[in-house]
Amino acid sequence: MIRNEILERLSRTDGLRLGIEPLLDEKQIGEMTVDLRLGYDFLVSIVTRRPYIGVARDDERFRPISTYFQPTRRELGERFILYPDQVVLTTTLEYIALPSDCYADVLTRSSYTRLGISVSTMVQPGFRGCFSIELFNHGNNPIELVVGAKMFQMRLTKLSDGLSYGGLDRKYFGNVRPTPSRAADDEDLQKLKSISERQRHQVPSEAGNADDG
Amino acid sequence: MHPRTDLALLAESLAHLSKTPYFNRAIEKHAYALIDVIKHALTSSPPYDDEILRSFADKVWTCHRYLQGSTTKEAPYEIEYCMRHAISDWLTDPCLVTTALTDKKDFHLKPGDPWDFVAKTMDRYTGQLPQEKLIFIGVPRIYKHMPLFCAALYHELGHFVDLARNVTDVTFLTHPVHGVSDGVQEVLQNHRREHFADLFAACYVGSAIVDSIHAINPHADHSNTHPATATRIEVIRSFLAGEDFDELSMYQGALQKLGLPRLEQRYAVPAIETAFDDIRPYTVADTPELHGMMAAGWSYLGKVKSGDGPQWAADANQLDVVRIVNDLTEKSIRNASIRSLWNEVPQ
Repeated sequence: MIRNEILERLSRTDGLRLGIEPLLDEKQIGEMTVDLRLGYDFLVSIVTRRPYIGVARDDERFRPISTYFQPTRRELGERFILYPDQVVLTTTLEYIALPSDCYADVLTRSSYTRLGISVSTMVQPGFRGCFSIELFNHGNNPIELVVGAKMFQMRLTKLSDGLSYGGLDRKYFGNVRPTPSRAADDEDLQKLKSISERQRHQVPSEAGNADDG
Repeated sequence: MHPRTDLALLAESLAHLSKTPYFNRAIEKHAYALIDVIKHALTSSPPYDDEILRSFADKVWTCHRYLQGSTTKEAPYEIEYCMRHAISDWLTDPCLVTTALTDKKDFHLKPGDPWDFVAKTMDRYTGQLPQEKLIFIGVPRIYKHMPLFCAALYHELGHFVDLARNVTDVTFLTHPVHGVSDGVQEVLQNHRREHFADLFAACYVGSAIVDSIHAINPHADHSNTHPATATRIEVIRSFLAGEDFDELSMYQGALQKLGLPRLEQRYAVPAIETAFDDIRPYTVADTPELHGMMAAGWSYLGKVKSGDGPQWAADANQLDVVRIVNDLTEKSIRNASIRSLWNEVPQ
């Protein structure tokens, strides 16, 4: 989508409306992208006594993924230090309502990519919420970020046919603050565990026969 | 345990707090002033009486708790923002609001000013004391992202204004009760305080305070500390319906004598349905709408509960609906704050 189309979508009131709230400065809307700002809530990864983050709930040593992160808040204009090799979850300052016929690519603005922060994610049509951002500092030096700074850009792509998309069954819907990974909620993990256990309890000859079959 | 030891430990902890990155400058000023007064209290000759030090230590303990709470960067900023707007309607003195998250069902808003005590009791201290009054807010930790459930703080603010300006005490001068025991006088005073705080809250959040009281304890009977829930709700409903009644006139008279604003509607209920039905935050237009988000949010939750909500809520479980409506309320308030901060600075 180009600037004129984005402006037209912002002024609509139907399901094809694009919502960006707050849009502090119209100059955020560029010729092909919309600049988005760094949000104020953060989940900072912390090192715990567990040697790794497990996603299998049936492991007796499993602990919720949220316990590997510490929440912290900032106000507009305050600073946040992003250390090398640290995962920090945050969001865009803006709450975004995507039209049902558009998806968005969210990318770091080049000024920040050059500092070693790279974000690249795709957001589905019909999304409602602040975009979830996973910050990672690939460089050697800590980087001081400013809450509200234009760090990201959104590129909108229109689908050829409108899709109806939305609902609470999706994992990250209507979020206004960063959410820890829900990898442990993946229903496939239970099935994969069953497969693994069946294979472990199979005697070698049975396994061989099965392979032969 | 011993006031001198406690004060020394508290000074250490305050010094540690003040070195926390991003420590708020306004809070830092109070922390440094406390450290300075503690230093004076522990080294002053002749020494202060132990009872004075004990009382001072208690005040520092309390301050420490809230200063620490505001430093953890988990405070519910959005509720603080609403409270700051309401406080400015009633108190002209500069105030610093600090918040502690509590681990029990405990909402409170109280003055925490240690500086009056220092000025009156530790008269040998010659340093400069902060001008801002400290206000301590307590919010249950599990409600830190549930602004609608914090509507009860407006009731607590009513108590705060009452105690700070003696509103209820003045009503006993204008409307005394004769021929009753001291115990009954105390019960009457407690009840007048509760009704005043209810009416005060209704000025800002309208019927949301009825919903809050009903949600907390729907069938509470009359007690020494509180009127029955049904009585409280009846008084609030009469006020919201614009009726004139003796109790309201009594409070209005006391407020007038004290040079304080009248009890009147200070909110405007915003039409949030279009935005919330589309799972988007509402764009708050002004301060009355800011306070009105509480009434609008509670009303929206009620609509969903009665099966009259939007499509997205139809198949959702109750907790998801409560979370999303509270999140949209929180984001609506936060966006209003962000826009205000942005527009205050010239381009």
